[in-house]
Amino acid sequence: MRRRRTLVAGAVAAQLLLLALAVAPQLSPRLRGEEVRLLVEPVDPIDPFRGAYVALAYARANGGRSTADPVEDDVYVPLVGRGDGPYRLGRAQDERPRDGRFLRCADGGASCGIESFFASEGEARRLERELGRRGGAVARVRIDGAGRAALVGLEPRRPR
Amino acid sequence: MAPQRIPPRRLAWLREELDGWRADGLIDDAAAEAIPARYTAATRLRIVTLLLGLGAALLGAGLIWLVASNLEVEGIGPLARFAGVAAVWLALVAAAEACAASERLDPLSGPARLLATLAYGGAIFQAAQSLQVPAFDTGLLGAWAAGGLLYAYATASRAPLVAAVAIGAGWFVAVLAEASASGAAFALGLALAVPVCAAAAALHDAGELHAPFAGPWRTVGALLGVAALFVVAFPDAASGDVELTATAVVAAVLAVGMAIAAALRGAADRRLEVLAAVGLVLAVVALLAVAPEDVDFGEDSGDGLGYALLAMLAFVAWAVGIAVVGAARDAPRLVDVAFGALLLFVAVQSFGIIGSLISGAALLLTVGVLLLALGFALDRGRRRLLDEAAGR
Repeated sequence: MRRRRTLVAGAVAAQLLLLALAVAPQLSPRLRGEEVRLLVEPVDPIDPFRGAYVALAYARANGGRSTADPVEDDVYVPLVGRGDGPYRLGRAQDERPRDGRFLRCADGGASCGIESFFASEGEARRLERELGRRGGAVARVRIDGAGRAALVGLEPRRPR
Repeated sequence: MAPQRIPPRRLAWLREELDGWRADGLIDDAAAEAIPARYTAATRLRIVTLLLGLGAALLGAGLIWLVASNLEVEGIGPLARFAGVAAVWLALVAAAEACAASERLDPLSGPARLLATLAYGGAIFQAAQSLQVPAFDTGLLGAWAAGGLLYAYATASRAPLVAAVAIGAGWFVAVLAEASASGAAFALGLALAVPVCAAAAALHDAGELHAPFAGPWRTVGALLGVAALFVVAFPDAASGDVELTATAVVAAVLAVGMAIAAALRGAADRRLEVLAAVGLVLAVVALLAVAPEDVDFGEDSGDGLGYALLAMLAFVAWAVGIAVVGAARDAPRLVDVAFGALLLFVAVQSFGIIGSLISGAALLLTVGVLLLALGFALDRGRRRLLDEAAGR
């Protein structure tokens, strides 16, 4: 009995570790990152296990398409903008930028870990409607030193 | 040692046999008394097991649904939500252990562990929700399956294993679909998983690991083989090149390694199953190598027709093999898998190759006769195998 309890306790500890590993890419920027604001355009789909979310397409500078290898796992996307933003995404590149803020992304820059904002079904619809009316939104994103990003919040775009 | 719970009919049979052995002088009175004392009759209706399992599965699905609905509750933030779901999961783990330790509540330990496994998934999804992990992140399913497997092996409990193996298979198919550049690569990836599962089942059967765990591994291996041959049977779906990526090499090495381990240490009478699984991989490779580029069954397409017939033969051979193993091992679930696979295959192919050869009423008549003949052949095969096993 004692042996089985030890085994179960060990398995639960390993399960907690696996859980932390599964969300690790979002955990590091949340704990250690600095916050920036990025321009986005929302749409509204569903994930079967996690419910309603607002899918976010980030505004790109210079009509920016990726120049990086599209199948390369780690590419870097510099943020283009001034002061406290909101920023746009620059062109994806294979080399890590020497200065300035940047994101580390996968799929040639298409996947940076900040493409979904989960909310209740009603809230997701409301966000979609409201943000669509205002012609986009601003995402609050935390980015750590390695360029890993976590989405913290979504707010309406303020008129200039 | 606590007496083992067995069905009353089995205990009655044992008592009759022991009386006979005592009368024949094979065992003495002390042994004839001591042997049945190791067992106790316990009636556990199949419907009760079914209800408990179904109840736990529905509760778990409800919990995950609750997480997915992301309800807005005043004053409860993302961290508090995760803490709440994690507390439910850990409480279920503790409750399952308490049930397992109590003779009266022991029947509830399996469903409670199944529920704990599903609640672990709820905790993962809530953590992902709270941290805004991007949608459709397959890593979450992978973590759920790996954690479920660890829990199943730590508790030596079959219910969480069945859930974890099913989640793991779902994760594997999702990752494979994401990573495969072509239908051919997808089919080959599915096929490579089959020897791994068959070898795991053989190693369990040999007593290297927990023996009752062999069934779920064998079943998932059979299903993945069915899926691989199903894809290969459609030349359009199985088209494209297979790139030799690092992942493909690792998968092939793992499959070969597991097959060798099963050959060396697995149960002797299960080696044929592992060999059949390796044969399936070779059959898939061979079919992909000869698959025609463009197929239109309506036109003069000798290559396409020949290929489709070959692929169909491979599929039917695999399905019949599963049925034979199911009958020989008294595993009705495998026989169900084989029947279901054949039925689905024939139904789908009625609109594919069979439909290209015959049409209209003749098609329905042919498919009907084909299904009847298959059912008859499978039943005959099953009876013969069971008779042979009984006469052994």
